[in-house]
Amino acid sequence: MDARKAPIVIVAVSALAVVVIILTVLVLGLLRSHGEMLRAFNELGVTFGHDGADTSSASTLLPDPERKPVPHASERVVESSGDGSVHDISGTTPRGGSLVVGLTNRNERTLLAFLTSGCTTCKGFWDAFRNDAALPRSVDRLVIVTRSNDEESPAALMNMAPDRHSVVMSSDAWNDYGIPVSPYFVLVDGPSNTIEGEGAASTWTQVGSLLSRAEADVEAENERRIDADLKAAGISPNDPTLYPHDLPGAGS
Amino acid sequence: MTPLQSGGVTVGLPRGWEGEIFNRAPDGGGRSLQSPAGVEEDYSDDSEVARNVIHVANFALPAERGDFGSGAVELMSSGAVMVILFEHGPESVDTPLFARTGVPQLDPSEFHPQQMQRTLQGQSGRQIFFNAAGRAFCLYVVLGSHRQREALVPLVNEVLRSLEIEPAD
Repeated sequence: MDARKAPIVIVAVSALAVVVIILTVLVLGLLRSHGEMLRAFNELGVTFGHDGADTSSASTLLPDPERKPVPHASERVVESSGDGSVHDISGTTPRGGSLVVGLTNRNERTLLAFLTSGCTTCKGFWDAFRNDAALPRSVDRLVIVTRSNDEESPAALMNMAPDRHSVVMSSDAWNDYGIPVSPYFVLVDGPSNTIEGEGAASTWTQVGSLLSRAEADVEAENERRIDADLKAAGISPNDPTLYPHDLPGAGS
Repeated sequence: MTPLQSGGVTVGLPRGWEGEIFNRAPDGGGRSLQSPAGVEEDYSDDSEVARNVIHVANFALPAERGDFGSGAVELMSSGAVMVILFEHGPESVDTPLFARTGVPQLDPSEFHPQQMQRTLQGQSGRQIFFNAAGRAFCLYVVLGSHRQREALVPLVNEVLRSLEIEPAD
C-alpha cells in the first residue's frame, strides 16, 4: 500500500466504524421502543399477528359462539372480556337527556359502535356517520356508545354526533360488553338474542367486510348444524325424502 | 325493569323496551314541535322553563323524531306500542284541560284510529291530559295495530304503573 494513502484508509475505516456503531445504537433504540409499544398494546388487550406484519389497518370480527381470535396474517386480533350475553344499554345523551336502548328480545339487528371523542381512528367513524355512511345490508340500525360524561366530553360529542343515529353515553355498557379498545363494534342479533359478532376495525368499509365474514361464519355454522341434525336422523345428502318431487304420488 | 330517569320523571322499561327523556327548549329548539291531530290548543307558551318530553317504545326508536312521535310511528309493526309524555308549563296545571289528577290507566275501548297525529293504516291512538305532583302532562299513546289493542294496552298500562313523577322545583 502506498504509504501516503495509509492515513486516509485508516481515517476512512475509523469513520466507517463510528457510523456502524451509531447505527447499531439507533437500531437497538428502535427495537427497545418497538418492544415497549408492543408491551403497551398488550396491556390494552391488543395482540399482533404471528407474522409480525404491520397490523394497523386491519382487524377481525369474531363470530359467536366461539368468541376466540381468528388469526389472520397482518391482522390485529382483539377480544372483548364480556360474558357474551346481550344487555340493554342505559345512559345519557350528549345533550343531557336520559336514554335506554333496548336490545334484548327484539326484532332488529343492531350494530353497536363503541367510540370515543378523542381517539384518532374514531374520528373517521364520526365523520362517516355524520355524512350518512350507508349501513351494511344486514344491519337495521346503528347505535353509538361512548363512555359516561365523567369520562367523556358531552360538548365534544355534541359536535361530533350524527343526527341520524342515537348516541348513548354509558360506561356501564362498555363494562357489560367488555370493550377492550376503541373503536370497537358489536353486532347484536335481536331475534336470537345473541351477539353475532364483534371486533375492532379502523375504517367503516372494513366493518362492512367484517360483518359479511361474520355472517358467512354464522351461515356456515348453521349449515353444519343442519347437516349434523339430518345425519343424526339417518338422512344422508341424497336421501329421497329431501326431494319431495321424487316421492310416490308427488306431482311432477 | 330498566329505569329511565330525568327531570323528576322516572319510568320503568320492560326488558327490550327503550326510551328517552329529553328537554325541549322554551323556544321549541332541539326537536320539531307538532301537536297530535284533533287537539286544538296552542302548544307554545311563554314559560322560560324547558319542557320534558318522554318517549318509550317496544321497538327501535329512530334518532330523528318529532315530539309526538313523527318519524317513529311510521316504523311501527303490528305488535309495537309507543308512549309519549309531553310536559306543559306550570301555568297549565290549574286549567280545565289538565283537571284529571294522577297518571291514568287506559282501556282498549278508548283507542281510536282517528286519534292519531296523522292517520296511519291499522294504527290507533289515545290522548289524555292530566296533572300529577303539580305538573301538567299530555299522554299520547300509539298502538301499531288497532285490532290488537286488547293485547297491547296492558303493555302500556304496565309502563304507566311504573311512572313516578316528582313535584316540580
